[in-house]
Amino acid sequence: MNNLTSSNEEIDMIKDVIKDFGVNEITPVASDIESNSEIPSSILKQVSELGLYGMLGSSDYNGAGTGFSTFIHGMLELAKYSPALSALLMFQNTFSVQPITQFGSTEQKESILGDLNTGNKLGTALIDDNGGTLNIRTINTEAMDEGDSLSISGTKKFAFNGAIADYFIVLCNIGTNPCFVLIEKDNPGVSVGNPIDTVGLRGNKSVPVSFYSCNVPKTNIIGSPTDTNKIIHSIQESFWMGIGAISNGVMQSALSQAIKYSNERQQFSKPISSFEAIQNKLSNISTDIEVSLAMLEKACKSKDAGEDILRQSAMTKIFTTDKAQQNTKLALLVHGGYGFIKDYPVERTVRDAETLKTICDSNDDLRLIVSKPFVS
Amino acid sequence: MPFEFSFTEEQEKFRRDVREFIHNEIMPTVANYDKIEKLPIENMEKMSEQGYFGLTVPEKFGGKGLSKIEYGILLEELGAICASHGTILGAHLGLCVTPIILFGTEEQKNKFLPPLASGKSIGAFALTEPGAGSDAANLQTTATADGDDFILNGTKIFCTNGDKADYIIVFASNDKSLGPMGGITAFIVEKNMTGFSVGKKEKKLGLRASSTIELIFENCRVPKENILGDIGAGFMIALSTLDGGRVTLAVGSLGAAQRALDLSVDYLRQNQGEGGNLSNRQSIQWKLADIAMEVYASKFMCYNNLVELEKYYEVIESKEKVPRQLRDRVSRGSAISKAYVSEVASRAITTAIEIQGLTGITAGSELERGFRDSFIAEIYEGTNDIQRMIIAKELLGLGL
Repeated sequence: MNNLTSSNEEIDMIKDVIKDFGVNEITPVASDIESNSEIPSSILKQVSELGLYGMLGSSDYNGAGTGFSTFIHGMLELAKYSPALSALLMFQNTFSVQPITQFGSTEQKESILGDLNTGNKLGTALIDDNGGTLNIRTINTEAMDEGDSLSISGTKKFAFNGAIADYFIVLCNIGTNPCFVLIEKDNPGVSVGNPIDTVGLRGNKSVPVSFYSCNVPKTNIIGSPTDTNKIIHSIQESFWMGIGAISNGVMQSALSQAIKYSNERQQFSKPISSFEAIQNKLSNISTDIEVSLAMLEKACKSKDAGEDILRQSAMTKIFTTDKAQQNTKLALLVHGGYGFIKDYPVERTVRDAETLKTICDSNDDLRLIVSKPFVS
Repeated sequence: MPFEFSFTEEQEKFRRDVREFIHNEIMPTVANYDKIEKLPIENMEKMSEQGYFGLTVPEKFGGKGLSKIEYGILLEELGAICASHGTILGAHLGLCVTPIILFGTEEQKNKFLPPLASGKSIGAFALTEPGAGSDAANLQTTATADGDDFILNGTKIFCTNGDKADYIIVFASNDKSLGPMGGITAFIVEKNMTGFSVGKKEKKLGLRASSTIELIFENCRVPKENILGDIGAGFMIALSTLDGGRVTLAVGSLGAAQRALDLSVDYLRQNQGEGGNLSNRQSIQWKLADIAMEVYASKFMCYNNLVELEKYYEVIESKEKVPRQLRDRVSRGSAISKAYVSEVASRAITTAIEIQGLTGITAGSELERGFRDSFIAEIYEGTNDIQRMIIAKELLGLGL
């Protein structure tokens, strides 16, 4: 998988394909996704045909086998039209397709990877107990060794895509060893809670998931105990970049909306875009988009070259989510009173940015990763 | 410029009483009103029984006769719990009742103030139009003289309480050639007047328990008895009213900011946090300290401005000429506090969400509602860009 790289042609092609899909298929239903908190099944079917569920999956198992840069650019482009759909696919790729592709046994790949890559089935990883990936020392999900099988009990409070997932990749303690175990949704003892309605990214189906003496064969353990940290590391690199990419797409959408509105809206007998106070806002949003994009692209190239990008990925996530929060707000303020009413999509954009910043791993925790090598 | 300020014993008691009432009667209901997006009529009735709808109305007109300080305390406490409730009261008392007290005739005060003070009638203020937002002087609603009456034609938007209001202060252009100072007149429109109707109700990001309404005037006849102040004095009435409105918006934001800080402190004291004791993290401590600094500054700023506002309104009410210096100081002070404290509140709320994580963005939680509500304080009664323009132009002597 890591041997795959992204060519410029591949990146341009995926951006074009997603742009077409976004303009023609998503934009007409964007407000329905928002009001029904549901991504229409027709959209999900097309996403499968486009190969977006398994972008990071190898072509041996029906995956698209794209490079990492291509994946990140794809998620970014899609987020301009629907951050919720982009997040769904980003988590599918980074939380299920990628870890199974990289660390799954041949048997596990044969059994589920084809379905994950095509979106016939969805999967998600449940790592720390609160939906993040960092606090793994305090997890309370325990796997009792029962010979050939494990009996798993514990609760994960927040599973992204959890309500629609068929497979859970669950971090649990086997004795003192944290290990990932593959658990099917229909396995007895799995209890999926009610969707957690968040302020933004509506259309996503995050849930708490509990396991009560859930019995699974030991062949469902993913990798060896020594692989666990590598799996987490790989997921972190990819999904922090994914959150960064989606946040960048959200910022770009905010900028487009602010440009459009400020040129249409006339006050004091001229378009408000002719006022320096508005121009400053547009300029600042635009600058942050460029910086964030440069960070994303640099880290993507390193990742495609097989380098470790944990710190770069953390920095990109911190910078881009913080800036997306600030800049979507600036875009809303450019709209004045119209920014506060639902006739304009910018009120949704600020909610999406706030949600992207808040879900899964706090920026303060990521700052500790960035500063780690500086501390003797 | 007064720098010494303390609450009297009566004011402290007033705050305790208000807090108890809000805690018992209002707080348990606010999440639901936000969810169903309906005016909290029952709460408004209970608030009326407390005298809140006539808090600053002189006793001889059936009000409580209290000062701007008590009004500030009330809005601060309401702002802590629900921005919608504060907005409903502010639009009624600050934007409708206040200009009648300041500019109304004795007949108008006798007619309108008692029902408004008791809360039996609700007030509203209609200045904004589709083409007149930040450019408030660009009114297209016209007032045409017909004998002694005026005929209003036009559309107003974003009118708080517009669907429930019995009396609405409406600004219209009576003579475009005279410009805003001289060409705009204020009218007290009564809801049953022929030619007046209520239009679209906005769906909003926040402030969902408060209604934001389009108002339509089609040959709406307003008798001369309902002209507020002099013909042509409307824009000055609007500006003087908004000078006060902004200070009271700021004090509502102060309540929201203090509440967000309190929620953060409570959360950190009660929870060990995800994966360790968050209270011991300096990243968290520094965030709390920053918000505490800003809230502290905001509190002095707001109440100092309320003291100034009280003096300013006393001069206006006495019909004496308002000294230019006083007007400029109040106008700048209210712009400073509105812009500053609304931004403090937004920061306090997003900081509280950072601290609480997922809980803070879960629909129905107090912080999630606070987040959605927070944006409007930076927009209404003049966006913060307009406030900055007022502040800078006044400092530089550029004139508006």
